Amino acid sequence: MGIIYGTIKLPPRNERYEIIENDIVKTADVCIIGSGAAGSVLSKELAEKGLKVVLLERGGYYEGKDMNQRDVDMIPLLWKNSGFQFDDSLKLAIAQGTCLGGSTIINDAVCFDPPEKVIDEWNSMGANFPYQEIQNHTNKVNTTLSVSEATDEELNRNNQMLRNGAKKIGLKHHHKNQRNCINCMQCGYCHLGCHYETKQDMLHTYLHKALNDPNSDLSIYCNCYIDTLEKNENGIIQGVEGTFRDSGGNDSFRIRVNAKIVIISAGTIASSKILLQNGIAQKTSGTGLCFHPSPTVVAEFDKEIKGNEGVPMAYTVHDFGVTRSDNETWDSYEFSGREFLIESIFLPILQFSTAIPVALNDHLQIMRRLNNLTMAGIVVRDRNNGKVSLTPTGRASVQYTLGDEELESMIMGIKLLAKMWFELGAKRIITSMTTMSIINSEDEIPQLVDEIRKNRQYLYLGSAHPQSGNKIGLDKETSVVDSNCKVHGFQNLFVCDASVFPTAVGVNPQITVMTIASIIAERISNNWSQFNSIPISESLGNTCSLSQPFYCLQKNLSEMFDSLDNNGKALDLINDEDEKANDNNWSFDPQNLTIQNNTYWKGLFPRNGNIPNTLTAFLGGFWKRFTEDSSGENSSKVKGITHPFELGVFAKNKAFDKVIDGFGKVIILDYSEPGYDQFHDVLKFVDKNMILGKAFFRDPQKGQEMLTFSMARKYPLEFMTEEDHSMLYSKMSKPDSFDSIVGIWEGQLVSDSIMTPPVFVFRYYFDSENKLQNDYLFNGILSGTAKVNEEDDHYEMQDVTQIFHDELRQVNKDLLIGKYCTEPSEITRWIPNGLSFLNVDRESNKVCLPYILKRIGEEEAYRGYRP
Amino acid sequence: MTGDNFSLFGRIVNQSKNPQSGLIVSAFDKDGASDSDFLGKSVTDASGKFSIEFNTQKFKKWWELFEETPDVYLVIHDQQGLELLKTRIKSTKQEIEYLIKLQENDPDPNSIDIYQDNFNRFGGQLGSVGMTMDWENSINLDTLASGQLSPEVRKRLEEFRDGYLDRRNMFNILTSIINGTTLSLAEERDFNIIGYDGAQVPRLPRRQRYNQVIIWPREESSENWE
Repeated sequence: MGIIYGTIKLPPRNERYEIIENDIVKTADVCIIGSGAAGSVLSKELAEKGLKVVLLERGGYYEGKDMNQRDVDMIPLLWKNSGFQFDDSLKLAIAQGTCLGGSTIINDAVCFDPPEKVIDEWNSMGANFPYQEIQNHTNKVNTTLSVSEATDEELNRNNQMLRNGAKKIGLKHHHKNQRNCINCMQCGYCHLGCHYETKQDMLHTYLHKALNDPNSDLSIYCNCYIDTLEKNENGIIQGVEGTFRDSGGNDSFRIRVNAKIVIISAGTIASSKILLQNGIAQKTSGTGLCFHPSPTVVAEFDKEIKGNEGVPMAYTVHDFGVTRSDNETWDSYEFSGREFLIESIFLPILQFSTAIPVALNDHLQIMRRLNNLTMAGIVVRDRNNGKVSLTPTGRASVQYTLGDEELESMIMGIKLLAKMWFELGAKRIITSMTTMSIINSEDEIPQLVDEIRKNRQYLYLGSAHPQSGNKIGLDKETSVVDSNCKVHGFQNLFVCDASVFPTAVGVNPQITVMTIASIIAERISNNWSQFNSIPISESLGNTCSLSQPFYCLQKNLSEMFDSLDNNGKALDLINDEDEKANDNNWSFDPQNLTIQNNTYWKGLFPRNGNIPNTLTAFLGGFWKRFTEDSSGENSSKVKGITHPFELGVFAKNKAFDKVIDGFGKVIILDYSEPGYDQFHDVLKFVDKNMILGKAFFRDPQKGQEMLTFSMARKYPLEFMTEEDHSMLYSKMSKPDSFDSIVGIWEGQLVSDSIMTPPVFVFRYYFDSENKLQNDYLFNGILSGTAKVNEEDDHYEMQDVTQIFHDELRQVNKDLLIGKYCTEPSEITRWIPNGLSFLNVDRESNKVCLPYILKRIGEEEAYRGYRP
Repeated sequence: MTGDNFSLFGRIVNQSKNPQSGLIVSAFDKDGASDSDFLGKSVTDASGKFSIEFNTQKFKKWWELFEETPDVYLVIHDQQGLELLKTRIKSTKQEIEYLIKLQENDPDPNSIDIYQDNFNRFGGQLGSVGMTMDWENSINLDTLASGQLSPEVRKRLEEFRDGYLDRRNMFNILTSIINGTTLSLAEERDFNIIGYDGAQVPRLPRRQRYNQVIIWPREESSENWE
């Protein structure tokens, strides 16, 4: 059996659904990212073979009864970026689903078998899909999805308009679509999810089967945003990590999946983004995207069309498509562009309104005539003209150039449609050309064509079929995955979705995506012995657990404290005699990147909870230091001081071993400092280096704590304090060579509490004079270039400010440690110690911002640097 | 154009989406507070289809001078006479197409409103497109490049920067369209202005009882529609 998890509270579900209340660590045979046309098929086919599958989905779990047929409600629940996904020019609107089931939930249920001609083309480019294998799996997919031809009754007036128009102007190959629907209710709201559950999307077919198979072991996690693929030197992905978000979009729990194989099926743009941001295939991934760019041609008639009533897409003209059966029409028009289909389409009201590129009153006038409008679109089988790259702010940027041949296809399509509509009696035509959006007669068509040829940049396009970008191919210099969809250079990482298409498929890609997923699932399970021996990592990643409570959220930490048996005594609290870090009480483990610091216990509050403010999170840490109390007053042999890093408070206390009702055997800290003397901390040892604690006002009573915290004297590098930073810096040496730091690095500032998320990006490169330069971009705003100089024991960068400079050393090849410092100045005397990120070095009289840099890749992955 | 002859037709399927034959479909015209006029009756065929035709005389009594569009509802009975479903009332000028799934929901008035954040999320996402665009435009190319970038990289970055006004313009158009539509049209009470029959289910489908009935009223007859 399978189960779905998510963070969002929902009404009763058809499938088993549970709310996540903890960080998750899962081991599995297969981890799949993305539950769309590919991910769902892979999940079901692999789970059916007895493999343990974890499926991660960014969107939420919504089903029929949730679909209320309203744009403003459904688009934010089902569509990626609430429908606002564009290329960088904002001229190409890209539709993708972000929900359990992916785009299959919001598509128009249009099904085309993979065209043989396209499969042949792919096979000549390094794919290995014998057409017989394709057919077998397509048949299997079509059966599972109950694909059948639309009935005559399902051709509403909008669809009939295209049929009549095509007949009228003498086109030959046009017919009803195949659809994955059972007795469609024809509500017209395919784009907003099928309320009547007649559409056979992934949720109702593959996922439903897999979830209810008594022998399957499938766990689906919704609302989960994947950020990290942890890779090792042997080309093995050891773990997948992500963060759950709640309905308000706030980060909540973390997940770590340790699996034998990882398959990315996140969809064309997201799959490339995940690879790029994890430094994988950075020169190839995200290049050569296709979009099936589609202009629309809307016409207004005197008679009533009511295009919103009934199946939105049920009819297609194939004369110029990759699906055409002969070249008769093509030749008779002496056509020389790319293949294209003309498809009938109608949209829910708000989407329809955004497809009409006019504004204000004109727009309102057109919308008021909605019942008398007919609409069709031209779907062009474009070349690989697009690219996805990362922006310095970590966003996926899509760039698309419309080629000459594609433009000719659009012009031909627009000409044909305009002619059709006028011959059927249209009053006027609304085009996708923003500079000539309305034409009133057939005579204006040539003028429109001229305008499009002249100003193609003003053509407003939609894309519902982003494809390619992680191409299948033999050469790792030009492709991302091999013929089995395995990423070049990796043993256990696959990409399987429309992004692996070597070229555009030319028809709605859903069946082709499912077919390929079905084939890849079969190939993986047939060769499972090859993957079965891949070791599963035991890493917990950045998830909450007893061994790493710094990652915990409030509730989890509190529960862990409650159920923990104390493993130590007050005497075990005692720190090193020396208050300053030195070689005896401080060490760094370069293998595991952990710091051991026995000058005090570094304490941290949960990352939500006590101080639920993002900014104060960086100020929210403290230390507790304990020493032996020889006076032995009140039978305590241990005395301590608690100091919040950012406050001038040093609260004295004494530690006792005690048994308290409701807590058991614990250590209690009694504060003696006036103002704090009513407070008590209850501490429990996890092990000799880790403690969980709760703070109480007056006597400790269960559930009455004011604060919950954890503290350690051995912790991961990312929890280093400013003192740790300066110790670590002092022990490292300058980078091996200028060459060794060329690339893109992400910087995090170090405060005593926790590091910030990445707030700046560095790019190291050689300029035309072969000098090493450093472009910096701080918080997406402050930017500039600095020269890199080699000093005796560090690299130094001088920026435009002439006040600050950077000093840099190396921890390992992917990790640098640095500080952004002023020149020595007397002013530093007046700056209080350790004010948030500002670190005052009393010896050198410098003020510094300590930071670390993590390598995130090569510059080719970034916008502007991508060829 | 309003004609004298009216037509009601459609299809009935059951919960598992199979067509239902032998069901008795009766049509009525609701007259204010008074009784309803019986308009006609039909039995569904093997493919679940039915059709009822009637003319003005059926519903327009001599005192009902102004009634030109009957307010129609259907009642569906099985062969044993058990009432299965009564549709909501819809007025028509010519014909109505019905698509009916015999399935009623079990409403829960306290069901969670899963849509409550949506307007904000919708607006937030649109806003963030604009903000990101402005923000990324503020990156100073000249200091970033220091005049040291290779010519082709510089050209690419400049092209991107130079497209800003164009992008901003597109964004403004998009925003005005969306604002215009959501403000002037998307309010359901205003749909009537254009005669748009949109959503067929309540906004909070889990809280209210409703039928799985799609009603498409038309001003022009489907017969001979080309």
